[in-house]
Order: sequence, then C-alpha cells, then structure tokens
Amino acid sequence: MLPHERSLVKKLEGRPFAIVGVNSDKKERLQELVADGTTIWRNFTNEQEYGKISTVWGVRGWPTLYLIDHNGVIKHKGLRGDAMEKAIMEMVAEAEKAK
Amino acid sequence: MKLKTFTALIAISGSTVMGAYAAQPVVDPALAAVDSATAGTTGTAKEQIEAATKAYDKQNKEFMKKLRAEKDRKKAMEMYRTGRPSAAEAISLILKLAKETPKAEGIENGLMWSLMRGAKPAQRKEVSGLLLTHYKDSPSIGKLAQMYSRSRTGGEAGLREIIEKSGDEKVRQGATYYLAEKLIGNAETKKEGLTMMKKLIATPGLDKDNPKLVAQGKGKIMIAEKLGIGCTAPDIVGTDQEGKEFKLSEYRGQVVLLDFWGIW
Repeated sequence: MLPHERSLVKKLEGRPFAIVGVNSDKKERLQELVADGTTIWRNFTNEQEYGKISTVWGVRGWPTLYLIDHNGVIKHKGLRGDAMEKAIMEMVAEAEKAK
Repeated sequence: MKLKTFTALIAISGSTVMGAYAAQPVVDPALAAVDSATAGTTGTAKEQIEAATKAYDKQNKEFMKKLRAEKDRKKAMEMYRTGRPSAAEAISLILKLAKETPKAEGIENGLMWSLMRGAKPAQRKEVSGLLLTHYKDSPSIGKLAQMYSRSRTGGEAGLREIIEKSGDEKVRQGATYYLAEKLIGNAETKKEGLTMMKKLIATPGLDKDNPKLVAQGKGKIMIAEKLGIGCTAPDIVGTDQEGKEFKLSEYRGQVVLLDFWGIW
C-alpha cells in the first residue's frame, strides 16, 4: 500500500492530486514516519480533542480509502491497487479539464 | 432407586395408553446400569455435559495439533474437510438434557457451548430456542445476539426475538444495535434501520453507560447518510503531527485520496 501511494504522489507531482492521511499511530510515531519518509503527504493525527476522526467516519477496517473529486464529492470507496490508480487518473484528468 | 423406576416403567408399559413401551425389550436393570455408565450418561446433567464437552475439546485439540503438523497444504485442507471432529454428538446430548431438565445446573453453559462450537443450523435453532425460553433474562443471550449479527441469513428474526423477550436491558440494546446495523446494510430496509439506530443512541444515559455503542452507532449513521458515493465529503478539521490545524476542505480543487492508515 504505502510504496504505491508514495509512487502516486511522485507520479502526479504538479497535478491536482493529494493524499490526505488520517494516521492512527501515536503522534511521536507519526513524527518518525514523516522524518524517515514513510509518509510524504499531510496527515491528521487520529487522536483529536473531540474524539477519533475514524470513529466519526465509522471506520472499522484499516486501511480505509475514499476517493474525493475536485468538487469535494465522494466518488469511490475501498478501491485498491490498479483499480484505484485508474480511477485517480480519470479523476485527475476531470479536475484538469474543469480548470 | 433404579429398581423402583424400572418397576414403574413396567407398570406403565402394561397400560394401553403407553402401549408403545410394551414393544421394547425388557432389559435387566443391572445390565442397563452398566450400559449407561459405559456410555457416559450417568451423573448429573452438569457432570454429563462436562464429560461430553471435555471429550470433544480434547479430541479437537489433538486434531488441531495433527493438522498444524501437516506441512502439505493440500493434505491439510483435505484432512480438515474430512477428519474434523464433530461436536454434533455432544450437542445432541446437551439438547436432550436441556429438554428433560431445562433449569438444571450446567444446562445454560452447555447450551452456550453448543453455540460457540458451531452447532448445525437445525441444532442451532433448537439451542437458541431453549436459551430464549428458559434463560431469556441471562446476559449470555448477548452472545446469541452477537452470533445472529454475524449470520448471513435469518439473523434478523432471531435478533427481533431477543429484543422482544430479553429481560436484560444491555442485551436488548446490543441486539437493537446489531439489528439496526443489519437493516441499514440492506437498501430496502435502510430507512427502518436508520430510525432504529437513531432512537437507540438517543436513549437517555446510554452515552454514559455505553459510549462505545453510541459512537459506533453514530458512525453507522454517518456512513449511511453522509459518506455514500455522490455525497459531498464532510469536512475534517484536525491537527497534524506538529499540532498544526488544517482542514480537508483546503484541498478543494484537487482530487484527494483520503487514507485512514497506521503502522502500529
């Protein structure tokens, strides 16, 4: 999962695409994961003052993935691997057309 | 004592009403006692159940040990398919005893054991029927609800029965959660499920008594109402690993892969 995600970030550099993480590790652990380049995107720490983001979103399995388009609309849930990459490519092309 | 019972049986078998008994061979009472002892059917219900369940668990443990020792995957699968010990016999005994003396010590545990050991559908129906008839107020009915929640078919009717019959409020709430969850998962009953879940989490005091259930219920409602394909993603306002605040909505205009992840 993570290597594929890192390669996507690099592949789509300069195009309208971003990964936003909600990370379930301890804050100190996430700092390490940022420092060693495991994650090269921005992450919310899941532990927030008002409760876990994952609980509010009803997340029961990890990882859980949502694909959200340039208008903020949820387009896909739970896609993985090649199917996920194909969907992202199509959505990015749409976003560029809309500019 | 044994002789007395035996004499009584003979007396009954002579009557026309119980005529069927007369067709059965008359056994020497001393021999009958030996027979049942070797078959492990003497002692109290509790003792009989413990003997049968222990025997099965031992057999199962030995089988699992042999299975793990088999390195050939194919052979192991075949072994599992054909040689797995069956709990059906032990469950039959438990069912028989439960019908005879439903409130005897050890019966409830025996029935629960039967559920956990994967009783076959017909047996399972009998087991849950006996539990709901004689132990409807017991907290162990919660386990039955959990089992129904995992069942792909027929779980709904069982959950409704628990909600109707159980005298344990926690059990009823748990069963209501499972039922609402099931209904939400089906397009035709989604609305009913959402109404049920909303009513449940609004139960006064439940947020203090069972905050986990309330939080999970809210999550289910969120998924069903706000996180479907075509919905505008709800905003997330949170902090990163340095404590800096940011929002999901800041990414509007870009395609976002929102990834709930962790290494642990």
